[in-house]
Amino acid sequence: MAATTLAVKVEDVFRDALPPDPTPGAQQAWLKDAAACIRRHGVIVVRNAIPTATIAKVLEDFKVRYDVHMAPGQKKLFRTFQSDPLRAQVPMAIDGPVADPEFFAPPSIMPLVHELMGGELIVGEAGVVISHGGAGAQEPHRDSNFLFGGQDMEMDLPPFAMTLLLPLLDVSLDMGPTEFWPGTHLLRDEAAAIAGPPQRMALRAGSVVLLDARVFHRGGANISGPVRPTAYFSYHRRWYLEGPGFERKPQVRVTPAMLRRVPEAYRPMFSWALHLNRADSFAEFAHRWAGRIRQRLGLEPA
Amino acid sequence: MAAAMVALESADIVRDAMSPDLSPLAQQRWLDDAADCFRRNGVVVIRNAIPPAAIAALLANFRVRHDVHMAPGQKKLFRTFQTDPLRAQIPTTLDGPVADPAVFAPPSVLALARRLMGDDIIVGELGVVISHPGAGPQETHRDSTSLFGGLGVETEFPPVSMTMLAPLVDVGPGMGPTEYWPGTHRLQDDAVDTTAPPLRATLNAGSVVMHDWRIYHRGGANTTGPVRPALYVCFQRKWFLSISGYEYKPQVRVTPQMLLRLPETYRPLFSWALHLNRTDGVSEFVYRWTGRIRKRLLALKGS
Repeated sequence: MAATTLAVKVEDVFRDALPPDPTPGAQQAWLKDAAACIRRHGVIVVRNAIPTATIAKVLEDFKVRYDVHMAPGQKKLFRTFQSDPLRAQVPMAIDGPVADPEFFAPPSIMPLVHELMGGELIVGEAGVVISHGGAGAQEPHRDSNFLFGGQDMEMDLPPFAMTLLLPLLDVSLDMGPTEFWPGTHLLRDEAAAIAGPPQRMALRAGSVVLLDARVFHRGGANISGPVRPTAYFSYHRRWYLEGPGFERKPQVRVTPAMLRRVPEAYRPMFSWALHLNRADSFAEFAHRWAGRIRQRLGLEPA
Repeated sequence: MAAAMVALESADIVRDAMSPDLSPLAQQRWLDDAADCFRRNGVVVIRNAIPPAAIAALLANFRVRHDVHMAPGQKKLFRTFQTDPLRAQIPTTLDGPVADPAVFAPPSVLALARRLMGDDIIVGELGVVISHPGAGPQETHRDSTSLFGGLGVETEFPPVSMTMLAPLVDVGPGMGPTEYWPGTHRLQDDAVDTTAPPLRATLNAGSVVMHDWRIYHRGGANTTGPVRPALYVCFQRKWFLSISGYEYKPQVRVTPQMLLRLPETYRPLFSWALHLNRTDGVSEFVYRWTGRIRKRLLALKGS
């Protein structure tokens, strides 16, 4: 086990993004290689996947809209702290610069995710994780565990959920870039999976990390500061859903008006969040009072 | 058909519900046997799983609260027709007689679902399907497409979703009992032969049929009438999400008050439906307007 993780060098999972207008052959070759990297290591780092101007707009918007979250120690709308009060996770509205497909569905990433998980995908979670200067390292964890508890027959399954991490500014090694244990997406034994040292790398804003949700990883310690916001999108096969941790905040913060502003081709990725459990409070109110009136009139048993 | 009926009445698929006074060892044996039957066939009939009084209360309530749905041809709140306008599917509120654990989670059914899918399961869908006299048979179908696009290993998967169908009235052969092709839950599409006669789940009210989400089945033709409402409850692994067909209605119709009235041990089955994508209209409104104001102020400051 340790051998598996140690044998992988961080360079093994680095790729440059697809060039803007690749030939079909070049695109196919890139996809095949990138997909093999994910299947084998559970992780890929794609350099320059997002134009720097796009990232800059998101960061600027984030600083204005989420300024309370950029300061440590306050608990605000939808914000939850992780085990460390200097880390926070905030769902991000699919609005403004965030609603740009270049950001939530980068051209190198979407074909890769489709290649690995098929055509019908949803964005199951979207938000920002923030670590402030002084935050310790997270506990190593998988974002999603094995579907059936880790039975033999599921050890070769392709991914069913993948997490895209997008740092909004350059992240040096002292600022706590994500650390991961390559290959652990196909390992049941948790202790063995994290027995070796993790891999980590400094990242420029615009580069992204794509993880199989089963791979062990953690946010690193932010020793030097400054505050480090990293956006995340979780792409899921359309039947997969994460419930724990979302008791008091939405998985995806989207309204009908926001959805209408997203280009049509991308709406199915978010529309589940509006359709899901579409109970209508007015209809429920009418149901309740119609029942009470019927009971009073003796039409319905009490 | 007669042959299929005989097969259905054989011990292969039909079990009596677990009696409450069984010893722990006997309960274990019952569960082992029922789980084995379900794994092999993808379907099991559990006779007398729900007490007659609970079913009668449910039917009386349903006739009053859903009277519009008991008549064919009108489209009302949350009601969707299937391919046939004489068939409708309606989510029912988790309220009144429906909220009785003896109805939505009969002990034999819940124990079997937990045996096959673990303790951490949810009720992912709950409602009533109605077929009116004259309704033709449904298209033969599985309840969901394959999870990974039809990999060979998927036929080995344990259940992900188990549907309990509980007719509110006795369902004779002419009223369109559900028809099943046992074993097809472990077959890939190209290996399934639905030209063979199906097994038909003729059931007395209070008996239920449970099926694997992969099994080929269809609602039969309701040639004789009367109208046939049947409660459906889908027990699912907590990560399984069914979104097709729920664009205009909830999967589970539950409010915080309804949840609070349930016995505490049953609340985790439904609480997902309240937690899921918990957006708050007021917060979103505030978010939008504070953003606009801030941007205006910053623009003014800049200029």
